[in-house]
Amino acid sequence: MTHYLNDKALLNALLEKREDAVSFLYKENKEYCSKYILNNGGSSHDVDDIYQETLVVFIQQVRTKKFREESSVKTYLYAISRRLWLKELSRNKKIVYSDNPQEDSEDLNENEAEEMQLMLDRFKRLNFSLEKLGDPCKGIIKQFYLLKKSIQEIMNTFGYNSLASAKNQKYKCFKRLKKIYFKEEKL
Amino acid sequence: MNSSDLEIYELIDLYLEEAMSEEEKESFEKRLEEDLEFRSEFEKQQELFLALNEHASISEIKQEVEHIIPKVTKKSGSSNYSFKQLLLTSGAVAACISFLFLGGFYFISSSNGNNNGSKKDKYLQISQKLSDVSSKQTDLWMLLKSAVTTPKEVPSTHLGTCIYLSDSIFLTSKHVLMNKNDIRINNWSCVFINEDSLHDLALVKVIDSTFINPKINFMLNTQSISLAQEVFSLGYPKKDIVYKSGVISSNSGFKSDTLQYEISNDLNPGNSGGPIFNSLGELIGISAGKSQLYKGSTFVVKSQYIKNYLRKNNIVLSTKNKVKYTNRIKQVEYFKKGVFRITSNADEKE
Repeated sequence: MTHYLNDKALLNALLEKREDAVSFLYKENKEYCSKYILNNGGSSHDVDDIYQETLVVFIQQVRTKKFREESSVKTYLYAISRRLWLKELSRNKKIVYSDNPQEDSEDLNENEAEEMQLMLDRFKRLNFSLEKLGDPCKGIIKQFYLLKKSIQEIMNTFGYNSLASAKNQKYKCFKRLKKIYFKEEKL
Repeated sequence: MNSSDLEIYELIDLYLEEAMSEEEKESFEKRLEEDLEFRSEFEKQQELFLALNEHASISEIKQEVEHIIPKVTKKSGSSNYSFKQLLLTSGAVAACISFLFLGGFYFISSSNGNNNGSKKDKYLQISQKLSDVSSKQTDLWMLLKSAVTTPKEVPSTHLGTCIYLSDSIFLTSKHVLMNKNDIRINNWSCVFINEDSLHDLALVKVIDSTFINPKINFMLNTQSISLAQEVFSLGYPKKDIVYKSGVISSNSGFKSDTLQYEISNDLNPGNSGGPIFNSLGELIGISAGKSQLYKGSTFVVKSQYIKNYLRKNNIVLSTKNKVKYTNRIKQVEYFKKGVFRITSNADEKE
């Protein structure tokens, strides 16, 4: 397996979407990140879940250039996984035995942490809503918003007679998606 | 439909796409401050817009991460030896004579050169071969008589267990389906979809109008399969569902088959295709066979292969674990609704 000597090299490889960089990131930091979860009522299964989400959030931060490299990758990952686990605990109304909110204030500030959590929530909620939406709306929304296809293309793909009716249908789908997305309680 | 709604939607869209002129933008922002209803509409659309915008890249990252996990967590596999290869190379499939008395099971002979131990262990597929009239003693007797005289004409039923996935589709063990043209789940008629012979898996679909999809999600865990981990199983070795608990006793299956692992549950014929859960109620395998020689070694198809097989068929199980923090009784009560008895009548000619 490729070994990355420093954070800089690793971050560049992550930007280039190199598979070995993700593997390296995963292996190098898992044990370190799992400590907090295991010491605070989490199982190894929780570790797997939280750690996976941590990596997704982190790589997204890197690729959207939001990771400012003020701390090392390792401590940053630790801070994210810790946050996500605390959130999970509070969601399930479990008691947190040892928590020191100051602990990671330097690596991950309140706003950043909140924003990451919101991003994950949005992602899960949208996934769920899209599934519920069903076809053809799911397809239209995906084509337009996720794959950035034009209305013209949607008209052709879905066989609408005019741009106006394609537009209208897109609107109806969006309206339904919005309804589902904002109606569902916490996932 | 209210056309002004559409106008508002398009207006907000323009703003979010940053496709407005300075003037338009100004008046738009002014309206945001003044019109509360408009504002709340805007905020919702903005959040959804944001979610849609970041969705593609997060999905991609998620896939990248999920893709590498099996590779980095894989224990160094020692051999690729699979029991299926053994099956293919082994000689005759020995017929089981004991089924007349015990409602017994058939087994696969493994009497080829791969047997290096002094004792000859055998892999038993734990589907059940039964006469469909076995519940009545007189019928059984009749069957016994006819079977002795003309054994080839006895139609036999293979019993196993299956689990509900989604949209009338069920997962079971491939070897349960002796006759793909005659499959029943409870009393619903089914069609065979496809199979994965190597991993002993198959999909069937119920095509009966009286069937109602149960409200149940199995959640597949492909990551943590560790020794000594507690597991429980559900299956139909008889007409009623049977629960058994145990632990994972080995990371490999029959004769170190790496496609399977071993659990300590002593499962009986009819359990084939039945689910194995971890203590959180996540599906971690499908039971397939057992050792003939040793009690309490049941072989289970690893969940990774189940996931791969389902993915090939575009079936994705929900990741929402509804029973994570409930007790075992509640878990079993919930999953019971998705575990069924499956039967397949063997072709009379065979």
